[in-house]
Amino acid sequence: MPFVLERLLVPRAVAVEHPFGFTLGKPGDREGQMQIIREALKAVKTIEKPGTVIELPYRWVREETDDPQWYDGKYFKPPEKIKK
Amino acid sequence: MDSFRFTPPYVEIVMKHFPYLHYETCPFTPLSKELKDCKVALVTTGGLYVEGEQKPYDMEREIKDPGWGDPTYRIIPRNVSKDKVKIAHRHYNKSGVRKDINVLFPLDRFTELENRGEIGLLSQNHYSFQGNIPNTQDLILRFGVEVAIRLHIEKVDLVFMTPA
Repeated sequence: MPFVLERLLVPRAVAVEHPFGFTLGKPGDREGQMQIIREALKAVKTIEKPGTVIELPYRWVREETDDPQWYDGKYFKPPEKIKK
Repeated sequence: MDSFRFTPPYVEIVMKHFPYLHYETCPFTPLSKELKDCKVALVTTGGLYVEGEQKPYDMEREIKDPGWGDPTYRIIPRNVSKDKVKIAHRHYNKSGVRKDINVLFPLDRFTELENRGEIGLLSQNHYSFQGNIPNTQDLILRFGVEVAIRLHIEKVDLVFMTPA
Protein backbone atom coordinates (compact mmCIF):
# COMPACT_ATOMS: atom_id res chain seq x y z
CA MET A 1 0.00 0.00 0.00
CA PRO A 2 1.62 3.28 -1.05
CA PHE A 3 -0.23 5.03 1.81
CA VAL A 4 1.70 3.00 4.39
CA LEU A 5 4.98 2.80 2.46
CA GLU A 6 5.19 6.58 2.19
CA ARG A 7 4.78 6.96 5.93
CA LEU A 8 7.33 4.32 6.89
CA LEU A 9 10.09 5.22 4.44
CA VAL A 10 10.84 1.78 3.05
CA PRO A 11 14.15 1.78 1.11
CA ARG A 12 12.63 0.39 -2.09
CA ALA A 13 9.14 -0.75 -2.91
CA VAL A 14 6.86 -1.64 -5.76
CA ALA A 15 3.11 -1.44 -5.21
CA VAL A 16 0.22 -3.18 -6.89
CA GLU A 17 -3.44 -2.33 -6.55
CA HIS A 18 -4.50 -5.80 -5.47
CA PRO A 19 -6.72 -6.88 -2.58
CA PHE A 20 -4.86 -7.39 0.69
CA GLY A 21 -3.62 -10.99 0.87
CA PHE A 22 -3.36 -11.27 -2.93
CA THR A 23 -0.10 -9.38 -3.25
CA LEU A 24 1.14 -11.18 -6.35
CA GLY A 25 -2.29 -11.68 -7.88
CA LYS A 26 -4.55 -14.67 -8.24
CA PRO A 27 -3.78 -18.22 -7.12
CA GLY A 28 -2.35 -20.29 -9.95
CA ASP A 29 -1.44 -17.27 -12.10
CA ARG A 30 2.20 -18.19 -12.48
CA GLU A 31 2.92 -15.66 -15.22
CA GLY A 32 1.25 -12.81 -13.35
CA GLN A 33 3.16 -13.62 -10.18
CA MET A 34 6.43 -13.78 -12.10
CA GLN A 35 5.79 -10.42 -13.81
CA ILE A 36 5.43 -8.63 -10.48
CA ILE A 37 8.47 -10.37 -9.00
CA ARG A 38 10.58 -9.41 -12.01
CA GLU A 39 9.43 -5.79 -11.74
CA ALA A 40 10.42 -5.82 -8.05
CA LEU A 41 13.84 -7.26 -8.83
CA LYS A 42 14.35 -4.69 -11.57
CA ALA A 43 13.48 -1.95 -9.07
CA VAL A 44 16.33 -3.03 -6.81
CA LYS A 45 18.65 -1.77 -9.51
CA THR A 46 16.67 1.19 -10.84
CA ILE A 47 15.61 2.84 -7.57
CA GLU A 48 18.34 5.21 -6.49
CA LYS A 49 16.51 7.38 -3.96
CA PRO A 50 15.60 5.82 -0.57
CA GLY A 51 11.86 5.75 0.04
CA THR A 52 10.92 5.44 -3.63
CA VAL A 53 7.68 3.57 -4.35
CA ILE A 54 7.08 2.41 -7.90
CA GLU A 55 3.39 1.89 -8.65
CA LEU A 56 2.98 -1.01 -11.05
CA PRO A 57 0.24 -0.87 -13.69
CA TYR A 58 -1.30 -4.28 -12.99
CA ARG A 59 -4.95 -4.11 -12.03
CA TRP A 60 -7.16 -6.65 -10.30
CA VAL A 61 -9.96 -7.81 -12.56
CA ARG A 62 -12.88 -9.63 -11.01
CA GLU A 63 -13.90 -12.63 -13.10
CA GLU A 64 -16.76 -15.07 -12.94
CA THR A 65 -14.35 -17.95 -12.45
CA ASP A 66 -12.92 -16.35 -9.27
CA ASP A 67 -13.53 -18.17 -6.00
CA PRO A 68 -16.33 -16.36 -4.08
CA GLN A 69 -14.25 -16.82 -0.89
CA TRP A 70 -11.81 -14.20 -2.18
CA TYR A 71 -14.52 -11.59 -1.82
CA ASP A 72 -15.51 -12.31 1.78
CA GLY A 73 -17.08 -9.09 3.05
CA LYS A 74 -15.05 -9.15 6.25
CA TYR A 75 -11.95 -8.36 4.22
CA PHE A 76 -13.36 -6.95 1.00
CA LYS A 77 -15.20 -3.73 0.25
CA PRO A 78 -18.80 -4.25 -0.94
CA PRO A 79 -18.61 -4.50 -4.77
CA GLU A 80 -21.01 -1.59 -5.31
CA LYS A 81 -18.63 0.72 -3.41
CA ILE A 82 -15.54 -0.13 -5.42
CA LYS A 83 -14.70 2.63 -7.91
CA LYS A 84 -14.63 1.49 -11.51
CA MET B 1 -3.22 4.17 -7.15
CA ASP B 2 -5.83 3.85 -4.42
CA SER B 3 -4.31 2.00 -1.44
CA PHE B 4 -7.77 1.30 -0.07
CA ARG B 5 -9.59 0.39 -3.28
CA PHE B 6 -10.59 -3.06 -2.07
CA THR B 7 -10.39 -2.75 1.70
CA PRO B 8 -13.50 -2.55 3.84
CA PRO B 9 -14.06 0.86 5.47
CA TYR B 10 -12.89 -0.18 8.95
CA VAL B 11 -9.47 -1.15 7.60
CA GLU B 12 -9.09 2.23 5.92
CA ILE B 13 -10.00 4.01 9.15
CA VAL B 14 -7.54 1.95 11.22
CA MET B 15 -4.69 2.36 8.75
CA LYS B 16 -5.25 6.08 8.30
CA HIS B 17 -5.20 6.68 12.05
CA PHE B 18 -2.45 4.27 13.05
CA PRO B 19 0.35 6.06 14.94
CA TYR B 20 3.13 5.22 12.47
CA LEU B 21 6.67 5.75 13.65
CA HIS B 22 8.25 8.73 12.00
CA TYR B 23 11.68 8.35 10.46
CA GLU B 24 13.84 11.22 9.26
CA THR B 25 16.15 8.99 7.28
CA CYS B 26 15.91 5.72 5.45
CA PRO B 27 18.60 3.04 5.25
CA PHE B 28 19.70 2.35 1.72
CA THR B 29 22.33 -0.09 0.53
CA PRO B 30 23.00 -0.08 -3.19
CA LEU B 31 23.15 -3.57 -4.61
CA SER B 32 26.80 -4.27 -5.30
CA LYS B 33 26.29 -7.46 -7.34
CA GLU B 34 24.35 -8.54 -10.35
CA LEU B 35 21.06 -10.25 -9.57
CA LYS B 36 22.38 -13.46 -11.09
CA ASP B 37 25.03 -13.52 -8.36
CA CYS B 38 22.75 -12.64 -5.43
CA LYS B 39 21.53 -14.90 -2.65
CA VAL B 40 17.85 -14.13 -2.07
CA ALA B 41 15.50 -14.73 0.87
CA LEU B 42 11.77 -14.15 1.33
CA VAL B 43 10.27 -12.33 4.30
CA THR B 44 6.55 -11.94 4.78
CA THR B 45 4.15 -10.72 7.44
CA GLY B 46 1.56 -13.26 6.32
CA GLY B 47 1.52 -15.21 9.61
CA LEU B 48 2.98 -18.42 8.17
CA TYR B 49 4.22 -21.25 10.38
CA VAL B 50 5.10 -24.91 9.92
CA GLU B 51 2.43 -27.12 11.44
CA GLY B 52 3.69 -29.77 13.85
CA GLU B 53 7.09 -28.11 14.17
CA GLN B 54 6.32 -24.56 15.18
CA LYS B 55 3.73 -22.89 17.36
CA PRO B 56 1.16 -20.70 15.65
CA TYR B 57 1.34 -16.99 16.46
CA ASP B 58 -0.52 -16.19 19.66
CA MET B 59 -4.02 -15.33 18.49
CA GLU B 60 -5.63 -16.01 21.87
CA ARG B 61 -3.68 -13.22 23.53
CA GLU B 62 -4.38 -10.90 20.59
CA ILE B 63 -8.12 -11.48 21.01
CA LYS B 64 -7.91 -10.77 24.75
CA ASP B 65 -5.69 -7.73 24.24
CA PRO B 66 -6.38 -6.01 20.90
CA GLY B 67 -3.55 -3.55 21.55
CA TRP B 68 -1.08 -6.42 21.36
CA GLY B 69 0.06 -8.52 18.41
CA ASP B 70 2.53 -11.41 18.38
CA PRO B 71 5.89 -9.91 17.28
CA THR B 72 7.75 -13.24 16.95
CA TYR B 73 8.87 -14.88 13.72
CA ARG B 74 9.10 -18.33 12.20
CA ILE B 75 11.77 -19.78 9.93
CA ILE B 76 10.23 -21.32 6.82
CA PRO B 77 12.74 -23.66 5.10
CA ARG B 78 12.76 -23.57 1.32
CA ASN B 79 12.11 -27.30 1.09
CA VAL B 80 9.12 -27.18 3.44
CA SER B 81 6.18 -29.34 2.50
CA LYS B 82 3.59 -26.78 1.35
CA ASP B 83 0.72 -28.61 3.00
CA LYS B 84 2.40 -28.12 6.37
CA VAL B 85 2.55 -24.34 6.01
CA LYS B 86 -0.40 -22.88 7.90
CA ILE B 87 -1.48 -19.34 8.65
CA ALA B 88 -2.23 -17.65 11.98
CA HIS B 89 -3.28 -14.08 11.18
CA ARG B 90 -6.71 -12.58 11.79
CA HIS B 91 -6.61 -9.58 9.49
CA TYR B 92 -6.49 -10.60 5.86
CA ASN B 93 -8.25 -12.94 3.49
CA LYS B 94 -6.19 -16.12 3.56
CA SER B 95 -8.14 -18.12 0.99
CA GLY B 96 -5.81 -17.16 -1.88
CA VAL B 97 -2.62 -18.05 -0.01
CA ARG B 98 -4.14 -21.33 1.15
CA LYS B 99 -4.82 -22.25 -2.44
CA ASP B 100 -1.45 -21.06 -3.77
CA ILE B 101 1.23 -19.95 -1.34
CA ASN B 102 3.02 -18.13 -4.18
CA VAL B 103 0.41 -15.39 -4.02
CA LEU B 104 2.21 -14.10 -0.94
CA PHE B 105 5.28 -16.27 -0.38
CA PRO B 106 6.58 -17.15 -3.84
CA LEU B 107 8.99 -19.98 -3.06
CA ASP B 108 8.16 -21.77 -6.32
CA ARG B 109 8.61 -18.64 -8.44
CA PHE B 110 12.00 -17.89 -6.88
CA THR B 111 13.06 -21.51 -7.32
CA GLU B 112 12.27 -21.06 -11.00
CA LEU B 113 14.32 -17.86 -11.11
CA GLU B 114 17.19 -19.73 -9.47
CA ASN B 115 16.91 -22.58 -11.98
CA ARG B 116 16.96 -20.09 -14.85
CA GLY B 117 19.99 -18.32 -13.43
CA GLU B 118 18.15 -15.02 -13.01
CA ILE B 119 19.12 -14.99 -9.33
CA GLY B 120 22.20 -16.61 -7.88
CA LEU B 121 20.84 -18.70 -5.05
CA LEU B 122 17.59 -19.02 -3.16
CA SER B 123 18.44 -19.14 0.54
CA GLN B 124 17.72 -22.19 2.67
CA ASN B 125 15.83 -20.17 5.27
CA HIS B 126 12.96 -17.73 4.80
CA TYR B 127 11.06 -15.80 7.44
CA SER B 128 7.52 -15.00 8.42
CA PHE B 129 6.03 -12.60 10.93
CA GLN B 130 2.33 -11.97 11.35
CA GLY B 131 1.53 -8.42 10.38
CA ASN B 132 -0.78 -7.25 13.12
CA ILE B 133 1.65 -5.77 15.64
CA PRO B 134 0.14 -2.56 17.04
CA ASN B 135 2.92 -2.18 19.61
CA THR B 136 6.12 -2.47 17.60
CA GLN B 137 8.70 -2.18 20.37
CA ASP B 138 9.59 -5.90 20.64
CA LEU B 139 9.57 -6.23 16.86
CA ILE B 140 11.98 -3.34 16.37
CA LEU B 141 14.27 -3.99 19.34
CA ARG B 142 14.39 -7.76 19.29
CA PHE B 143 12.70 -9.95 16.71
CA GLY B 144 13.28 -7.79 13.66
CA VAL B 145 16.93 -7.43 14.66
CA GLU B 146 17.24 -11.20 15.12
CA VAL B 147 15.97 -11.83 11.61
CA ALA B 148 18.30 -9.18 10.20
CA ILE B 149 21.25 -10.85 11.97
CA ARG B 150 20.22 -14.27 10.69
CA LEU B 151 20.00 -12.95 7.13
CA HIS B 152 23.42 -11.37 7.54
CA ILE B 153 24.96 -14.60 8.88
CA GLU B 154 23.33 -16.52 6.02
CA LYS B 155 25.00 -14.07 3.60
CA VAL B 156 21.74 -13.04 2.00
CA ASP B 157 22.19 -10.17 -0.47
CA LEU B 158 18.60 -9.40 -1.21
CA VAL B 159 15.26 -9.80 0.56
CA PHE B 160 11.88 -9.93 -1.16
CA MET B 161 9.29 -8.75 1.36
CA THR B 162 5.53 -9.14 1.10
CA PRO B 163 3.06 -7.54 3.50
CA ALA B 164 -0.13 -8.93 5.00
